[in-house]
Formats: sequence, C-alpha cells, structure tokens
Amino acid sequence: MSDWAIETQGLTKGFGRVTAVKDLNLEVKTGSIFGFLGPNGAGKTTTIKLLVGLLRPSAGRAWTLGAPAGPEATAIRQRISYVSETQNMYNYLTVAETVAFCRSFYSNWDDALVRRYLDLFDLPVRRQVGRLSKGMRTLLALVLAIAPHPELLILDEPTTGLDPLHRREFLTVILKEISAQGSTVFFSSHILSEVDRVVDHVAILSQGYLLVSRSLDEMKTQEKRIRVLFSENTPTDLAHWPGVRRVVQEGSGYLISVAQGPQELAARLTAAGGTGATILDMNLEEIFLDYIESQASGRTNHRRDLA
Amino acid sequence: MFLMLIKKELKENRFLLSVWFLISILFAILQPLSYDYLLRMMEGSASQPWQQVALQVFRDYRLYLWLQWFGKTGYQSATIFAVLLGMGLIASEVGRKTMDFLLTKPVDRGTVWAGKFLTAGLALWSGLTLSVVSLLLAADFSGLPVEWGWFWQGLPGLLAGSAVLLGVVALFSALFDDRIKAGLVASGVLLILSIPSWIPRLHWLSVYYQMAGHETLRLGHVPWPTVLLLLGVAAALYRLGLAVFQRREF
Repeated sequence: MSDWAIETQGLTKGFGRVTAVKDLNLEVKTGSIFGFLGPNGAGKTTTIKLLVGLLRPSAGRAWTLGAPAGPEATAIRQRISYVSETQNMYNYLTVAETVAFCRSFYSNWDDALVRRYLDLFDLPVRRQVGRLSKGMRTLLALVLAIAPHPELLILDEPTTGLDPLHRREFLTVILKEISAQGSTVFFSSHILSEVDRVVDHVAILSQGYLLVSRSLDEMKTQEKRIRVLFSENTPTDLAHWPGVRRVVQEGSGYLISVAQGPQELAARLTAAGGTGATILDMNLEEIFLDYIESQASGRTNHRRDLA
Repeated sequence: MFLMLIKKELKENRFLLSVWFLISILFAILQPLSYDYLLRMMEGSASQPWQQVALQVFRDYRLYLWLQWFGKTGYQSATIFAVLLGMGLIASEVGRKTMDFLLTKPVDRGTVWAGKFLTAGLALWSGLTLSVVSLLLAADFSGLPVEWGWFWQGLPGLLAGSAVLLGVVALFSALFDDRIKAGLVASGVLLILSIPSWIPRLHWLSVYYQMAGHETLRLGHVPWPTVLLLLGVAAALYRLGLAVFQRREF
C-alpha cells in the first residue's frame, strides 16, 4: 500500500490562455483528513477534476492510491468516491433507483450501511431526486459515496449552501464512517470553521499555486504573528529573515507573520533592537487570509515546503 | 452495470420513446386503413394527366403501401427521431451537469457510450420494426393484405440507414455541450447528406434513397451489399463518436 493516497508532480492544467493549476506538487498521506483550501478560482475544483479523471493534465502527473489518475483509470475508481459541490444526480430517478444505479458499479457495496443512513437522514426512498431539498441531496450524495467503503473520499466543497444542522450531520458521518476506517478524505471547502474541526492536514492554493501544505497542528504551533516596535535602526531586510512570511508596518511597530520558529525569531528581533516582541496565536482563518494576502502582495508566490 | 445504464437511458427518454413508438405505429396502421378512402378521393378528383399517372400508382395497392411507408413516412420519421434520440446522447448529460456523477463511477467511457448508443439504436430499430408489423397487421385486418415476406424486404435498408443517421447525430452530441446545438448542426449535416438523392444519377449515394427502399423495389430482393455498407458506415461513425467522447474533458 502506498504511503500517499494522492500524489502530484508538477501537475499543471491550462484552459486556453488561463492556467488554472500551476506546477502542483502535493502529497496526501494515506489515512489523513486533508483540507484543500483556497479562494474562488484558486484551482481547487480543477485539481480535483484532474484527480478523478474528468480532466487531463496539460503537464505533470497525478496518482491516486498509487495508480495514475486519468479518465482511463477505471479500476481504481472502485476504491475512490467523489462528491461534487453541485451534487447533480439524475432528477428523474427516485432515491431508491439512484441507489440501485450506483450499486451496479461497485463490487463492495454495503446495502446495510445505505439503509442505515437513509433511515438516519430520513431520506424518502420513493421520492425523485429532483424533488429533494439541497440538504437531502447532499446527504444522499454522501451516502452514495460512502456505500462502497472507499479508501479515498474526495469532496469538493460538499457542504456549500447547507444549513448548520445538515453540515454537522455530514461531517459527523465522514468522521465516523470514513476516517475511523483508516480511509483518506480529501476535502475542499470554503468554510474554514468546519475544516478546522475535522482535518489533520491543510494545503492552501491560490491562483493555481500551492502556497503551503502542512499538518494542522504544526500550522497552529508554528504559524504566528509577532508584534514588535522599533524606535530606530529597523532592520531593512526584515522581510527576508528566515521564517518571516509577511511584514506589515503599523505606525512605529511591525506585525510580522511567521511560518516557523516564532520564539527564535522573537529573540532575534529583540537582539536587533526591537522592543515588546509579543507572539500572537492565529486561527486557521487568519492563517488562510494571511497566506492569500501575502500572495496578493507578491511576498509568497510559490510553495513553501514546510511539511 | 450495463443493463442498469440501459435502464437509466430508457427512463431518461421515456417520454420521447413513448411518442416515437406511438407515432410510428399510428402512421403505419393509417397507411392500409386509409387506402380505400384516399383511392376514392383520387378517383373523384383526377382530372389532370399527372393526376391520372398518380392514380395508376395508387391503384397498385402493394406499390402504394411500399411508397407510402418505406418511400416516405418510414424514413422521414426515422430521420426525425434519430435526431431527437441522438442529440442528447452525451450533450444532455453535459448540459444537466450529470456527466461528473456518471464518469466518476468505476465505468469506462466505452461502456457509457455503448449503453447510450445501443439504447437509442435499439429504440429506433424497435419502433421501425414494430411499425412494419403494425402496418402488415392493419393490412390483414382491413381485408387488403400484402405478402409479409415481400414487404419485410424493405426493412433492412431502413434499419441500416437509420443507424447511419443516428451515428451522425451521436457524433455531434459528443462534440457539443448543448443538445439543441448538437441537434441543429446534425440536422444541417443530414440535410447535406440528402443532396445526392435530388440528383438522379447520384441518388444511389444517398442514405435516404437506400432507406426509402427504391433499390430493393427495383431489384426485387434485399440489396445486402448496400445494407452491409450502410452498417459499416454506422459502425465507423460509432467509433468516431466514441473517440471524440473519450478525448473530451468534463
């Protein structure tokens, strides 16, 4: 069994003059719950479509569960499930017919699990999919995705537009049925609070570039801000010090975003004449926004390999 | 899995298929049932020389049925329904954005294409076959029977030609995201394919001429080489459409 559920090397995808994904090198450890973050248009959906074989790369390669990804990778899709943002299913089929349709493709379909979750979510089996609410459709898509016991579950912003109750149900099922079995979940989302709750590893993508990929624990312990004052002789090369990701001047003080080694950096700032160096914690949303703004200001334009 | 794909296609097109079967059977049974009425009407109004010629054809019941069904209604309805059934083959999945749902399942595109093409093709062929059976039964019922064995000879050319038309439409359905656009472009191409049938020396090159059974009528038997050639063209179009579908991104 491969160490990596997903691996990409130099993965690039262009559409005409627009390059949606640029030289993406990504490794997703088997058994992890991986949060794939980025603003709209970052290239998340394109990356996911490359992984599930709906698109072909312009350059580079991708592997899922150790096998090359692509439209021809039919056999490996027995072990991979995918839930798209829109959950477009056949509106004219009933829930029961949709289940039967999907069941026909898989060799290890779990009927008992499907029955259990259809009952739990109170999904009406005789109702046409087109008459289900958005929340019900999402939950049905999730049931269909987990029924074949996938080793890799790929979710593309699945909870967008869901109310908090449905969102909680969705995430609970992922944690209970997929993660507990040692399967890998690759999860793209806008909703950082839910990512923060469930993932153990995070990658941030923006404008097609991978900005960072590291464990959530490491991110929270290493990604900090340091507030410091310099009355005179401010180091001119502060932005280029090791570990410094972004420097924002606030009056006579500076707010420095740090990617690693905050204590060491605070000590160095003090030694360089800075006063009142204070290390501030950042939550995932602040880290995310900091990376995106750093890239927008040109400070970060490629992956910083910190994993 | 393959049967489930076909079942899904049948359910997806249930309204169109119902209309197709109903119309093709209805038009077929009307041919023998309306013969006496139309003949009397023609006899009562044929004053011009050309009307007299038409009346001579009309008086030959066997020829009348052949020309009315294979020579007109059969291939025309087959053409219309080949467009209606084929234009959404791939394009409707793309338009409804259900292609992601389908192609991320462990199924290869060849199987998907085969399921869709075969369902449409068999529906088209079943409708045409049923219509011929209905016509012959209606002829028996109306007291003006024709020889089944003779009339059946028109069917192979009609079926083979309809497979060619479906192949053309399916190819454009694989090329375009919008089923209406696919249908319009395919219709334009089918119109172009009809040009040889307007030119007497070239009409044998027209798929419609072969579908209309003129060569069968002339030879007195099924022109198997032509039928096999049409089936070969249909198979080539099937392969071409599959190649387009396999290269596409969604």
